[in-house]
Amino acid sequence: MANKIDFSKLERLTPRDDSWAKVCARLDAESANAPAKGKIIDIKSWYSAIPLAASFVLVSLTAILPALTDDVKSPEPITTETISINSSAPSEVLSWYSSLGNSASDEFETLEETVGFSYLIKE
Amino acid sequence: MQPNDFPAHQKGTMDEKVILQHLKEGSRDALALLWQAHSSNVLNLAFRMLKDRDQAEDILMDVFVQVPKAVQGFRGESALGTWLYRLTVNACLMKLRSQKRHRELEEEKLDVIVEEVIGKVDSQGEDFDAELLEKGLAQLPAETRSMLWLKDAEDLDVKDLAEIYKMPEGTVKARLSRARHLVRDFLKERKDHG
Repeated sequence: MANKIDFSKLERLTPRDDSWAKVCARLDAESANAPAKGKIIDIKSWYSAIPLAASFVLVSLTAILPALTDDVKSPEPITTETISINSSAPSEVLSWYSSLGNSASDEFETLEETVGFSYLIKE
Repeated sequence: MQPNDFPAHQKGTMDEKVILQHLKEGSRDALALLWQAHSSNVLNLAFRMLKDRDQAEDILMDVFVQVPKAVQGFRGESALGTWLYRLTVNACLMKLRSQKRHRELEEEKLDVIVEEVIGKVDSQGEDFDAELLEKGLAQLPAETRSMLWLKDAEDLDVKDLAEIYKMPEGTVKARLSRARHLVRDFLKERKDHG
């Protein structure tokens, strides 16, 4: 290219005779230090194992937990008490309750609000 | 083992892909071949950027020491020489930045060159052009100077330069054009006043 600048007159360097030997020496020194570094746990290599281990733990817990909960017995069994509505509700509520579904009318049979509220408050 | 000791028959037959493969396997012989083929180019590029022989030698050694590790990430999409140039340019730029006196360095070297030019004009008039060219190149930033060197002295393609300097080809061409104009104007002005 005619546009080029002519660098042919400029000094062209060649590497010093001992440069290659120095490169080799540095590489040898690095490789000599390499085994020491190898003893250190490579954290990065563990990164891929973490999700795998977490999955394993989750699966194990899923399998084991039901068995563990079956073994655990409550010291005092919870008992339930059935209370008849007949023994606690006022007569208005009882009559309304017993007449539910007996009417021929399509309209809803609603309990008077005041009676219902007083029953709920009482309960 | 010196690079020149490498068996002659292997020099001719080992193409870049094979050398690259051997380099990735950690072969010292492959590195020796690479040194033999490219160390001079790397040294001269570093010298053009840093304008200091000792520092250029340091960069040369640094580059080749880091090759065995760096090559593991090299996918072979460009020529090994181009890749080495990129390592060299990056290493030189890091060195210049770490010194934090890029401009001072340029001025310092410029003064040395001026002294050399003045000294040699009296005794060796014919060598004046080369020295003046050095001075003209010193007007350019290190990166542009190295780019001009790789294009005009080492005959690299604009495509390779775009890859080395990580910039579009159009930008490379524009920079080269501006750099040539600047150097030529400088030389012309000095000769006219000389």
